[in-house]
Amino acid sequence: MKRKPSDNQVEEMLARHLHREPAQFDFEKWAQTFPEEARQAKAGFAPAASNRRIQLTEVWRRIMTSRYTRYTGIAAALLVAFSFLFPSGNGIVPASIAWADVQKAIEEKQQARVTGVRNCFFGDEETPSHKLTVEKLFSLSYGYADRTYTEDGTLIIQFTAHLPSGTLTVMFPTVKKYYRMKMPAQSLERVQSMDREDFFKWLWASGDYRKIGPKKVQGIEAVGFEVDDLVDRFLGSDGLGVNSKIVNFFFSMRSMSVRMWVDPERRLPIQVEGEGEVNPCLVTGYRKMKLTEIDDQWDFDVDLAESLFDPEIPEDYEQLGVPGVVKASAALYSIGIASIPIVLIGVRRSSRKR
Amino acid sequence: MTDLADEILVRRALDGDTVSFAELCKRYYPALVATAHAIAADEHLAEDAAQEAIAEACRRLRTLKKPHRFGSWLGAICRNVAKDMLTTRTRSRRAVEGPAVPGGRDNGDEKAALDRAVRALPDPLRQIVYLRYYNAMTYEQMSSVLGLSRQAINGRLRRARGKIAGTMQANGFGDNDR
Repeated sequence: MKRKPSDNQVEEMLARHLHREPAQFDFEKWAQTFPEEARQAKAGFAPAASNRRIQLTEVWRRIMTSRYTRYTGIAAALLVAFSFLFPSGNGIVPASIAWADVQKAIEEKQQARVTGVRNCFFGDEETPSHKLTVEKLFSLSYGYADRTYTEDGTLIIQFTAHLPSGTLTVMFPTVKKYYRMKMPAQSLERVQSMDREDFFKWLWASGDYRKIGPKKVQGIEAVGFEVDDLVDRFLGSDGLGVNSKIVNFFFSMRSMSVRMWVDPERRLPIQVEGEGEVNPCLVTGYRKMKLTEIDDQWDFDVDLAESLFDPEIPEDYEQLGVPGVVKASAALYSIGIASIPIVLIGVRRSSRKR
Repeated sequence: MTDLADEILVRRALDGDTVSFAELCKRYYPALVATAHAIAADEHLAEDAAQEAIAEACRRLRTLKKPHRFGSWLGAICRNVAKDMLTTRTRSRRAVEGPAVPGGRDNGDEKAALDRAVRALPDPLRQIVYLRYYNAMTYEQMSSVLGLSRQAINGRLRRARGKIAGTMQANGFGDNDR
């Protein structure tokens, strides 16, 4: 029986038998074998033309590195869109002349521009980590546009829903990416089969609202209306009928309460306030987040061009691909995208009936 | 240039400075070849894998979040590339030659016995052995490629040598009992 070689002996053997002269790297030779990669190196590693169509997951990760864009997007449209959901009364909500008048007044206006401020808080922070300016454009004919800006006025995300063509577009100007699609057939069918009354029943039959105020808002003795369970109404069993697991993977709202303040004289909204809690999810970087938003600038006397709702994509923007899991479900578009056309088409159809 | 930190070279490379990128490649190429050789057991395949790893790094350099860890990032890419190449080669060889026949004893050939013992090591230990003895790399160089501390490297090397000694003894190599 032989004795086990000592540590020194093994080391010596390894050094003797394994040793090679270090391989030398020749960049020029390598560049001949990998010309496309060498070109990228010379161009500062800009993506190759053939790779310009990139996966949504990859871009989503890039967007996540931005200080601002991660907290916007999917839920961006909820708050002010909500103002168009208030019913004109059909027996489910107790008759309220104020609401009927508000609804009528909004429909008569056809177009609106709303701006406000959205704050994002993490943990127990008292001051927001991110303070964003939001701008929302409504047109009963053309659709909906939602833009989010940083405090210094940089546009970081723009969502548009163009109703005449059914085109939905999301643009991320700071990273020069965009995503454009036609409304998924499932959502389109649902939207087309739903008039305002159906939508109103769906939204309001499952929960209550409270009348609040009057309260002095922007110098006006305003009347208010409040709803607490907005998330359940969208994603609950009576909601949009989408896969909430996928929605929650991206943006998991725990709760959302919304208050609308109305000028009783003009019958028009003057301020919408929202507060919500977001569970740890992709959009928040898997941290808990609180969200507050106040939309306090309402301008109903605006002229909005159709191109605002169907923007041209700049040539140097890259299109995002959609991973299979998302493509398989229209759920991704349910909160921020599908809900808006539903609102607007519902209102538009109602207008046509008259 | 040769003394500049990886982080600086990466940042320059991202600005289109190919000299900096070439310097990074030169810096790590021997370690990449050693790592790939440890996995693929073929010198030519190892060089191919190292070059392919650099190409892959080119494609993904923009995604590198920690430029100061370029070495370990590139090392990880190289390990994956070498494994993929090995798998492809093994499949194509099997298709042509049929399953490999297990080797017998080493008939007194110390080099063959040592080679067999090194091949028997688990992947992480074999890679560390190659890095250390292939190009006589320092612990500092190994640390930058593996992303491990000096102590961890030392511990793994000792464990690897112990296993090699055991395998060699089992194969009839070692000192005679007195």
